Amino acid sequence: MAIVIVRTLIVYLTLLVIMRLMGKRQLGEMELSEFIVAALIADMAAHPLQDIGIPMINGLVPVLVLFCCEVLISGLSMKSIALRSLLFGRPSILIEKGRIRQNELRKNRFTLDELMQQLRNQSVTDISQVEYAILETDGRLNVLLYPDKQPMSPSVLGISLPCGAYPVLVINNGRVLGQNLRLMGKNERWLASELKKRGCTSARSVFCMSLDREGRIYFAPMEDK
Amino acid sequence: MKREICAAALLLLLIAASLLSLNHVENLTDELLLLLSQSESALEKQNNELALEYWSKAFELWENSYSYTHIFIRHQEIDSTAEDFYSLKETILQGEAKSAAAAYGQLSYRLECIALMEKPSLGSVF
Repeated sequence: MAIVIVRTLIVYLTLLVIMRLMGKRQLGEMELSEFIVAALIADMAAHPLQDIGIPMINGLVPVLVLFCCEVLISGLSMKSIALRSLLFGRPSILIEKGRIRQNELRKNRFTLDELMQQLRNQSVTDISQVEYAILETDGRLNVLLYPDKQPMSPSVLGISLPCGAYPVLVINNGRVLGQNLRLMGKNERWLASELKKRGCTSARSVFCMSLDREGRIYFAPMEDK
Repeated sequence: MKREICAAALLLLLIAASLLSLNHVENLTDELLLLLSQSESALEKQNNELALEYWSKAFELWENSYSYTHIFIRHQEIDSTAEDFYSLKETILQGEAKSAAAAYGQLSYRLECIALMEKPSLGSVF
């Protein structure tokens, strides 16, 4: 049993490192090769855990090889458009200028029911409002409505709004994030005075505090446990 | 680009390590097979002591490769090979060359299979 525990820890840490090195794309929407790698890696790494008679190396080496292949292929596909379209395909336009391209639906084995479902997922119930619907290479459907059907924006109404400021956390669960504080051009003394204004003596009693470039502060004290 | 270079280097390293491992297992099995054939020849000449001596050398060589075999070879294969070694020893002690031939053959075949399984070929890949 001890062997199983040790092997599980080794495999877990290895997978953690490998997936971290592969990057954020693996965690988000995946392309075909990335999906294959993710599925295979999990399965292969598990074999030595199920049977301790199988050497650990039989689980780890395939994971490393897949990792190398994935990094090389994704790196090469970034440099070559031809390779990218060969491996990942091209987006397909399913609705163009309001007209359903039935040939494209058939080519992608996408039924009308699935198309309607995907549109409903994006809160579009009336297909006549759709100018373009594009099926991306990772399987997502992106929808562009006709301009007169799109949600209003302030610019359309001729209203100008001040630029938004991106808020940054300066206290996270009682811990002061010094780097973020300095990024906002503030220091610990400023922080202490702001906390005092809000009746707090220490950052430990603060759950969340964020600050943006406009000086707006969001403050949430720690709740009693 | 750095990541791709590291990945390519790692892949080449893995391939190189696998070739080294293959070379090592072939050398190991060649040595073992040589000792076993010498043991068999000695037994055929009714020299039980010499046969047993060669057997002991082969078994010691196998045991000394413990670190390598337990990392790279399936444990079931290792256990089966150890069993064959002991079966062979039993037949050597009985001193009968004809019945020992099968035991020698079995052990030799198992050792050859271990090397063959590591070698990339159509049969081993598919």
